[in-house]
Amino acid sequence: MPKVITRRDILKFTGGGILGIMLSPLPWKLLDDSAIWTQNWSLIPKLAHGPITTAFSHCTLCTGGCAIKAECVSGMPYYLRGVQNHPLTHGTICTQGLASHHMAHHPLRIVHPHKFVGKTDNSTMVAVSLQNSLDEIAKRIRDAKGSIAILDQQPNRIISEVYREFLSKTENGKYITSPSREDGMIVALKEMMNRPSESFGFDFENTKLIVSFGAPLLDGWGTPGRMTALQNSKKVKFIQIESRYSRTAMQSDEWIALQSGTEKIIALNIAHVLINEELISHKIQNSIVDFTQFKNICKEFNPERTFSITGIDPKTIHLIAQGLVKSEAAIVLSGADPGGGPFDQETEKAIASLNLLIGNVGETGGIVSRKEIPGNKIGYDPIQWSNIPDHSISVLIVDGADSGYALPWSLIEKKLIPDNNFVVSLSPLLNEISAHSDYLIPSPAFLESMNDVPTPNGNNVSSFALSTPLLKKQNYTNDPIDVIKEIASRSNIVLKITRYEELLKQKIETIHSQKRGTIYVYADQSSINIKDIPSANELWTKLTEGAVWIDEPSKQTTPGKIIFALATAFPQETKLEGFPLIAYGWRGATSTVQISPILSKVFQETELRNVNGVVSINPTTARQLGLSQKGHATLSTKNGSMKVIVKIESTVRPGIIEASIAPHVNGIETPRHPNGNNILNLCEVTNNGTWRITTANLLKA
Amino acid sequence: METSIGKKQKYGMVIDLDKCNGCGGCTVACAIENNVPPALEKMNKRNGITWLNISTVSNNEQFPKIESVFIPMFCQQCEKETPCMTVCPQNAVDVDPSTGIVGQVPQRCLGCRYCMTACPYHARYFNWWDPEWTEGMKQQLNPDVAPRMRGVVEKCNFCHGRLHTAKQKAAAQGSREINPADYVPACVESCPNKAITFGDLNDLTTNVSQLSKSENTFRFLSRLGTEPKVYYHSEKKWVRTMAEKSLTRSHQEGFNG
Repeated sequence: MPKVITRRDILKFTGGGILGIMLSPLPWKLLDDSAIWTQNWSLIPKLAHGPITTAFSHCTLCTGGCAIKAECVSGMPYYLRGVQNHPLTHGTICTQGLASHHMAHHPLRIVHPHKFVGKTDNSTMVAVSLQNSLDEIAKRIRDAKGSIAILDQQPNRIISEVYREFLSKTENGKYITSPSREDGMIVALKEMMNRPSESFGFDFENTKLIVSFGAPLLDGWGTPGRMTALQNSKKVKFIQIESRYSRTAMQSDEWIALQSGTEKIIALNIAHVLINEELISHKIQNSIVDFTQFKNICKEFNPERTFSITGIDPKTIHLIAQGLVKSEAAIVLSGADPGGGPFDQETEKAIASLNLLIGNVGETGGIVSRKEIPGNKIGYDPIQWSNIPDHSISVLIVDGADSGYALPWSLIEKKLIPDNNFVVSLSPLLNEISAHSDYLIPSPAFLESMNDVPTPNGNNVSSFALSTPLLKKQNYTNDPIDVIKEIASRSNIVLKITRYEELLKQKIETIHSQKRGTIYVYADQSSINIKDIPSANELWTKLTEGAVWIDEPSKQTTPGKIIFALATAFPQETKLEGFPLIAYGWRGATSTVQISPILSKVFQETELRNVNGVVSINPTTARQLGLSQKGHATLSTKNGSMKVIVKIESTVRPGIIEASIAPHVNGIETPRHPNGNNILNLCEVTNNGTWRITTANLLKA
Repeated sequence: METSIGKKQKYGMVIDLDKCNGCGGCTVACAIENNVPPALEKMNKRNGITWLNISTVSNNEQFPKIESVFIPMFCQQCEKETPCMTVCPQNAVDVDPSTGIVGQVPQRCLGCRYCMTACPYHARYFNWWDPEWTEGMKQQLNPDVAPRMRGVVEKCNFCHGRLHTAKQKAAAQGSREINPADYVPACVESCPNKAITFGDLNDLTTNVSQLSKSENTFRFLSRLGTEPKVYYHSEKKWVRTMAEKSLTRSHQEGFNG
């Protein structure tokens, strides 16, 4: 009788077969091998081969002037580190600097001159020839009805002098720098002392107390390595007066959490105590001109009266004032907020006045005068944003360098003649500013061309170094100096400039001829007196191979006449219609340039820093508004509204909204076509060129 | 067979949490050194790859008395009953007896992610997608570290590539002992505040060894008995006590990580 195959047989066969295969090495071997095969996929990159070398250069992503030691394979840098024992940077480079060699390969790199057709967010980029671009720019300059302006975000470079020369030969030329200047307080101080052509720095290394009004001192300010070395030395006490629990507030010895926008009041509070308790330095008593008006202003700002506005109790104010005097070497400084913009000039003057009152100008551990880099043209301060009339600029050329600080497009737009303006960007990348331009002429990317590195902000002695190219310059890029030369010749402007390298060599010849200072050579970590370098050519060679020239200290002089010219009245209490919005960022990453895609580790994959479109509120505020952690909400100001994600954090003051400004790290979303995630555009830009005080509402979406 | 070169070492770290300012330099330097790719748009905190992750933890006080610290968290290099090694079916995790470093062999990894489940520190990362760099960035990869493929787990290995380079240098000089200055992981080197101290825990003369025994030094989840070789240091008591709290309890107590 034929065997009937039953369902049980089929199941037994199938089950037995599966069991047999499972017990055999076959599936495990296949799984194992598949892991090995996947290594041969074309998506897995092949590593570069070749000799491993070391090269030195300097970072020019911001004005910090950090020295870089680059490990290279076949000449291509793959790892950057600081230069150990560097006298100015102390072997440190910041987080953005670590990944800066990627910038030339950023997804938003511009590889051809472009013009933007249309002025709206829906405009398109059209590739144009360089010659046509230059012709058009020159034509616009010739036909300009208003001012010609250049926005130089890293002043004091050699190219800055070229810009100034160009502008001086145009009608009503305006030289502008980033509004968020780290030296805003110094500018105010110079004005009050009537010493406009002098350069000043901070003698941090000999100071004992630093009182900072919101400056991100321990989060990338000035030369980051200098500040961290100072903090690690534990010789200096840091007091941070800031409304946010920023990274600097977190790291400081003392954090004074004031109400946002009350910095000027606190500064005048402290001034009041200094005057009232006769703590003013006797060194300046004879220099003060017409002190009565300032005294009268300060009388209004007594700590008891202003407590309700600032939230700081009178005892704290007294302790700060006494600390400034008792420490014998103290500095009070302000600093541009990376995202929230600069203080207005009155606030800067109020803060500067504290330094004058304690008499720290020209003193050890105070604010000291420094000699300028030989050959630098001095006494030419850029025009303040508040002094630029609205709707006055016809043609604006934006240099591709970056200040490291935020700059809202709405501030620039306010100064442009509506519907008849022309903006040219010399940026290597498509970014917030270049995306708003009419023409974009790509400049060399970071580390692709030779640049000079002037004295970083806040340094007490001058320095000069070269950023030697570590990457091959691309054919489609144009040095800004060549672009300016071409525009000048097409606009019938005669400029006395040669090649950029020649200008650099001239500068080094001047430095060498002055026989001042020393150079620090990175390769062997040696210091050489400039007098022992036989020729300017040898100095050039050493600087290109990796070295920095450091000037000798300047002889200090005490202030001559001091004019406390403030016109501040006691503020009236106003009821806000909404919550104060504090925009904040991270120095270097909130600015006009993009950042390396690898910074996604910080912004996206660890949430160590908040991305754009994240607002933080206190749990109390969240309960009040009915918002939940990571919930969606609509943030609205007078300038518009946008969808945001809510983060509830106890570090935020109840009743305020903190909003992060950050770039789009992976570059997938272009600023030209934003999805509305730029909080900076919601901030209200004032006539003072700041955007610190904005009121906003937050509603559950 | 003797696998050790020279004397037996036990590499470890002490991280001073009071010095860490959360700049993220260590995270970025680690990614560059070890050829960890940038995030794709769809990546987030859960599925991204950050060998060295930094969390923010607060003391649960109210503003303005609140205090926060940043906690760099990465493979803690467990010495005893190394959980990831114990569970790996493929022997893709091994502990180098001569250095104590817990290594990961991506070629052997099946991608079962059992090790990720076993790791008490959430310090292991899975490659959910193929690694992607822009064309130029591919030329800037570290030639000493092989990139990993989709489908495998990876983690911190104390910059093993740098250890090999130091060994080669020592060998070229006819020595079996490496110069400690030649072997410094990228996170240690890049930290601007010098918050991370690295070295041989077995050598009682090293800073790391002495710091690991200091009064305010602690380890996370030490009660598990895995003897991690990464120590943390803080003068703040609330930070030290937080290290022994479980995640569930810590959520109620203000854990922001």
